[in-house]
Amino acid sequence: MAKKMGKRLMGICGVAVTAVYAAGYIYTMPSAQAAATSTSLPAASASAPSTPSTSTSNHAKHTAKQQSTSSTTRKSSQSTSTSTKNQATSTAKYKDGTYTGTGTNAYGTCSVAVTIQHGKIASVKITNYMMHYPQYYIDPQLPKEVVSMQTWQIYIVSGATASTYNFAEAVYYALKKAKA
Amino acid sequence: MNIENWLKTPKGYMMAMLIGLTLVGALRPQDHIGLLNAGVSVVTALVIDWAVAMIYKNKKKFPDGGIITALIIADVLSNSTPWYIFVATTAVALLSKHLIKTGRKPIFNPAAVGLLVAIYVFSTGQSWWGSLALLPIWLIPVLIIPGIVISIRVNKFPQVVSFLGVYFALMLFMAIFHLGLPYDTPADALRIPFVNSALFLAFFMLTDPPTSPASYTKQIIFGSLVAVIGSVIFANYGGLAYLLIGLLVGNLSNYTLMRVKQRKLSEVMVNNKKALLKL
Repeated sequence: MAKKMGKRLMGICGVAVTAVYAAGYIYTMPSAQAAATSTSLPAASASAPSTPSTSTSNHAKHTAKQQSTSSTTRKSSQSTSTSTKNQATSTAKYKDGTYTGTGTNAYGTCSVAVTIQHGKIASVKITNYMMHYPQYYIDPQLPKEVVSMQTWQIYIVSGATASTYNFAEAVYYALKKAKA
Repeated sequence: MNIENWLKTPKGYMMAMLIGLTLVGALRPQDHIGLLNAGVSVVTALVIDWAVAMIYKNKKKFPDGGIITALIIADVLSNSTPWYIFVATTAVALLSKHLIKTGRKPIFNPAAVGLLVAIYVFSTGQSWWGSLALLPIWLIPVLIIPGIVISIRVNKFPQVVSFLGVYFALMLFMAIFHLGLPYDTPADALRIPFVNSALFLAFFMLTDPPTSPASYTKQIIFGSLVAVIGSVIFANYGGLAYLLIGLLVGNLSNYTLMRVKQRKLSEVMVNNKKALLKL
């Protein structure tokens, strides 16, 4: 058994580790803030004008309830719709083709390929999934939901909120590219 | 031994700390179910450890090691994981402890084995909720203070410090030279929830006495190696498993070095014996 380490040495080591951590934290602060800004969806709620899928005006506004996985999640400002499905009909027209998008947060990254046919979302495929939660939590449920609802604003999957946010963000960016 | 004395032992203290963290982590409404999952893991551990004791006709003792493994697994697996995955992961972890061993010591950290299998075989999510990764940042002393105390109690402070020092230094290095992936960046690694995972691993998994070295020099090498392997995997692949793989590689190197030392010792003993016989 090794002899006990002196308290003074422990203190010095502890301070050294804290200093290295603080240096890293401070150095990465700009990139963390930039990432937080770039990954927050511009259209956080359905009422925002720049949403890729515009709800028809006679429909009730989405009751987009802000949901956060935790205070630590960078996507806390992002929301997805929890309103009823019939509110999500879309009149948006998209250019035909396949478009990709990526969503990222502290829990990982999700990329999708959205195929547009005749101006409508024909299929959504998850092309890259590097999240803390397994893919089967959201796949094929959420891709099917996007196709049926014709919007990126999908229901949050309980227990995989961060994955849902990332997926929604990825679809949002793909649809943004596809916008006519 | 009464409970008061038992709580003063490293295992007793470790278990008390893990129970405390589990209770605090479960304060988050979505993680209330974590208490039930922890119960499932602990019961599985009790059953397996007692079954193994019966099979090998060992003296029955309180399976504190198994309970600690179960609590670590419960604190790491996502609480949206089905209960039977907790059973399977705990079973894999404890079977690895009883089957992959040298003498009476397991070679690999049992919880790390179970959790790695859970990622790649059971495709489970791991939220490290017991590291308070999903709770506000002001609760982080609840993780750090008991962690430092336990690392001192088991005399593994140099190992913990070398791991964290090298890990944080490598993240800083990656940030300065823009190394790594566009996602899972050093900025992420140095912030919650990722940093909680590293701290939890350092304090409660790296410090496992049977699977890590005793001497301070070896502890520093061990801690540094785990940090380097983990950081390299993080920089190239990201994901969940980088810390666990780093720890298991460290365990394997510890075992290998121990075997080499044992072989050298036995060779010296044989040579001495031959020399004595010649005389």
